[in-house]
Amino acid sequence: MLRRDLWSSIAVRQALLSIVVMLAAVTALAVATVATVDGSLRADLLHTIDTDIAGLTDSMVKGGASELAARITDRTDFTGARQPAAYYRLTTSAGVRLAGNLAVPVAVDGAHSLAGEVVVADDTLLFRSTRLRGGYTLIVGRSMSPVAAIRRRVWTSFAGVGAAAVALALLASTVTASRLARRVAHLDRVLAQFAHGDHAARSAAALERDELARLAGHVDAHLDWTARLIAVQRAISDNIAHELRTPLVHLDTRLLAAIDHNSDPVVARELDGARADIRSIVSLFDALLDLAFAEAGGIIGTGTIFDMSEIAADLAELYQASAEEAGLDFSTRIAPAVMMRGEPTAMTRLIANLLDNAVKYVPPGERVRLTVAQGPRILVEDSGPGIAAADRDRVFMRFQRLAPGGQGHGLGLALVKVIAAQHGLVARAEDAAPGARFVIEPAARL
Amino acid sequence: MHVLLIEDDDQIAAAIAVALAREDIGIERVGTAEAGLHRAGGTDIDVIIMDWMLPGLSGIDAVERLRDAGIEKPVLMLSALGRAEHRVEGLDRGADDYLAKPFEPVELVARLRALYRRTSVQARQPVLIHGDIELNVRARTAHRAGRHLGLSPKEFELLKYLMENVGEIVTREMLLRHVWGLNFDPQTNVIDVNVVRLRRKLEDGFDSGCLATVRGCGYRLATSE
Repeated sequence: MLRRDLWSSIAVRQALLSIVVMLAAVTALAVATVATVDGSLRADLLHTIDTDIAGLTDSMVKGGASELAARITDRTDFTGARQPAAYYRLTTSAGVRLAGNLAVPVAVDGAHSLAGEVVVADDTLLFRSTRLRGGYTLIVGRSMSPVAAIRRRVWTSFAGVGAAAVALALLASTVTASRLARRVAHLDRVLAQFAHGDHAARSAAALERDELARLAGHVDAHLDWTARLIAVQRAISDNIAHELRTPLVHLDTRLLAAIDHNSDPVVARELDGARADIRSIVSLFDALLDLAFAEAGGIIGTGTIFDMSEIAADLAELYQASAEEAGLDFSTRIAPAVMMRGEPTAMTRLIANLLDNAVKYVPPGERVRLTVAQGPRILVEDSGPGIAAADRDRVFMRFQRLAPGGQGHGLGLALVKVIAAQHGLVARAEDAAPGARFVIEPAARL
Repeated sequence: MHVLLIEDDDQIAAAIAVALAREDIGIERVGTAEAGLHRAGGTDIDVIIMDWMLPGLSGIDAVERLRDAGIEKPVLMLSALGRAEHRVEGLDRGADDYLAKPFEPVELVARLRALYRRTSVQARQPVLIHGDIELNVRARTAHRAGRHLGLSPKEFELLKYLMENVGEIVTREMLLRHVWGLNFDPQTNVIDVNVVRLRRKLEDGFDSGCLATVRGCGYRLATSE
């Protein structure tokens, strides 16, 4: 999980990529350097060999093959080291070795001088063989081990530099990556805060003038705009509420006065009915405004951490009697201390609406169970007729009543869905086989 | 009880005046929050009814000023804004109760009496006695005529609230708020059903009833012995 999270961070990916590119660059540079150094050292060595051969050839011109053999012996005697740096071999045309410390014959053919590499014992030689007058063959070689040593040193220093560079790059990119991650996380947090109802949350872009700062600036401007819209929407709905309710209140007071001065029971019944209608209209306003307010993200505020189990237990106690009155077998399964963040009164309403729904629509004799588990996961399930698959989404829409003639405005479950969404939860209805199950649980993380 | 009504709407003010006069509650009305603040400190004022939306200074701001000025008289907020959130805001900002328009006159009177009673009976008694019902607030036990009543915690709270408001009408909304701490009206008759249960425990095996239903608005614990 952690590895996936790390890999999903743009900053971390960027850092790793740049380290890989840098490593490849250092390696390529090392290969090129080694090749160059190797080439020039080899050329130097060959030059030394050629000079040596020239000197030896001179001595042969002066004193013949015996003089040459004596010189070669001088030289091989002189190199007293365990592993000789110079190798010689002088052979007759018949291939008999006259002098030299190179015991193994080296493949030489033709009359031409020939240069090459050969492995002798545990050393690699660079050699040149020359055909001399009289059919003699002179081979002069030099040990390549100094070249190998230099090559090793170049590799070692490049490896050292490479490691240091990777370490530095890691350090630098960790710093930038974590800074970048912090800034993005800040932006993320601000947006989440706003979504949870803290409409004053802004990113307050820092000193930087980079793309991220510009993005943060745009986010702030957008949040300003949204906050303004929400405020306007609230003001408008408050005005509508006030302006529409006031005439209804006047109407109600008139009806009250009429009731006071009336003695006709038929008229009294009509007047009472008219007042009941006013109540119904007003409560519809309230329900719609509550819904709009919740949808505009107004219910959460900064939120508190509260015990959902306690709320559920209290409500279960309140509804126990109603459920029994309605002939329902009501039970609960409430895990202790299910804590969550949000607005406790809104979550109270959510559960109350679900239980209201069960008490109203589940037929007598059936079971209803309220479950609260960690998550939070809240279930209200019954053994009633259930909800047809086609209607399971519809029940959460406004003004949708599945059962005809029910009281209420058909807004209860719509409010459940909105309150759930404001708490990062989803509400859905499913088949409890038999019966219906209303599930409130955390939205699946993307 | 003498009430100060701060309300700019004449028609509503008149209706309130009629309702209170019928209950022998004295009333004095002003039309603005400023005038109301001026009058609120008067020693003859027991309870204040404050409209939320007034011309000039709003009612809710006026309540805050009242509290800042150290006047702790009970305030009943009256509002044409009925949403649950307004209720919470009103109570948070210093009002003692909140009633949305339109309201039943009997509901208004019941709220006023409960507010008045709460301030006049300040002392929290450890034992409430009414007739043959005895409620030990500390031990959370209830007895009637010496017989123990097995009440659930909420039933105990319900009986306690009724006893604190003995002889007065207690409405469903008042019970929802004070006993269950809910600030919205459930769609089902949960309160009635719970009161019926309490009544059964209270009256079963006794000759006399004591918890009366007031048709259409609430309940009353009878004062008669």
